[in-house]
Amino acid sequence: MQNLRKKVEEYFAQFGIPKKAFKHFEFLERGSSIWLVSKDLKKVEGFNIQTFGLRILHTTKWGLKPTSFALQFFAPYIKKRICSVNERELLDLIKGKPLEKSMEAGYVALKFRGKIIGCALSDGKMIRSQLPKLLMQIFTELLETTDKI
Amino acid sequence: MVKETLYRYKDIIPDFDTFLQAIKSRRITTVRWNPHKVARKELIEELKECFAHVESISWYKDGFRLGYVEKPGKTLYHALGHYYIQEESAMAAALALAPKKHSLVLDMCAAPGGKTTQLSALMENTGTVVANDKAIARLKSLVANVSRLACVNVIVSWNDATKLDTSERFDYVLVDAPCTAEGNLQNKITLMPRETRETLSSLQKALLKKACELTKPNGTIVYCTCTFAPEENERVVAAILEEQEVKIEKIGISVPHEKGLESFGKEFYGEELKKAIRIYPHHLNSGGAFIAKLKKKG
Repeated sequence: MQNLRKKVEEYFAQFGIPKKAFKHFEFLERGSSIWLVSKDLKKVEGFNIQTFGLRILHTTKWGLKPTSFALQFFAPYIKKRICSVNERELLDLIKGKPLEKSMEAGYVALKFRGKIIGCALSDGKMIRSQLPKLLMQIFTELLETTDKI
Repeated sequence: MVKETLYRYKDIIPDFDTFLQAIKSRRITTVRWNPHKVARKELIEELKECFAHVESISWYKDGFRLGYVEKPGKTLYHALGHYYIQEESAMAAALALAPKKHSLVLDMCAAPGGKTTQLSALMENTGTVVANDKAIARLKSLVANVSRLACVNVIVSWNDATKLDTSERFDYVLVDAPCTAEGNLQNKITLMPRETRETLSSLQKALLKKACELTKPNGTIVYCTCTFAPEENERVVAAILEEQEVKIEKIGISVPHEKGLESFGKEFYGEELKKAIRIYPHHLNSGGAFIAKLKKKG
């Protein structure tokens, strides 16, 4: 369990998230996913369990990847690896068009209108959206139908 | 058609004409603060930025009335999980259950997750809420809402709640039972037939019976529906009071309501059922709800 905590804390340190951000939580690793759960979450028996708490990381063939919902949740602590985008850039990213932006390679936190909204991937020169379908759908509707964003 | 069917409630619903009027009326949009993602004060500013009218609900400070809004979900703050769109009447059941921090809670029919995420908020993201649903198709929206609102104390499970085979015993159980949803008629074309009501009544009884079994001694159960039909409400609770080791308790929240029914037509449910509450659309310009709170004997 301590190893898992260390793994999570070390991973998120690249975004500037301090260890104290995780002190009220516990972690669970199931398959390729790491979940953030309450300290006293009970592992109930006899239920066909689909999810535990909030999925914050999952393992890909390139290594660990943060979820967009994890970056949203820890947004107040994120100080590094931030990629700010405007409306046009966000819409392009959602449509699958890479954005020219020079950033250190790896996962970055997308910031829009002052809020961390999710995850993107940088190869050093280009940024690609890693937002899940659900968020892409929500932001597409937002950007196309209203100016109140 | 709808109006005619609702006439069976003429003698049990005070201000019946106002009730009928409210059934047809457009409803006020209400939302609930999600404390896991944003401070309350900050949310108020965000809501004021997006909507012309923002008013805290008098009986529940974490709920807000936004007036008549076309698309309350189309804001950045909704996408970020700062608030949850929920009918005002639907906010009452979780408050009636009032789970303490660090407790073990079961939400038997949880999708799409409005009450689950409210329970999670009331428990300040501590303890465990097992959010169960039978319909796999509905689990998608449940998981999406739990993720969007960052409820780290929620486990999502896929089971037929009436057939749960577990040794776990819960401090609190919520039975938000499938029902004919007469309280949400505004969104429906026709009422469900009488036969559906009878079938549902059996399912509701089975769910509540299982809830009694899965609750710890001295634990609390809340049974709720969004229908007016006594066959799905007082009749179900009266049958369980008769056969299970539970008692009915007063609900300590100040939401406008009428008392539960002692009887309906030729059916007698008992004076105790007056401790249940009935929320009608004209009370809150919202949907309808029935809520009963039971305590398992020690």
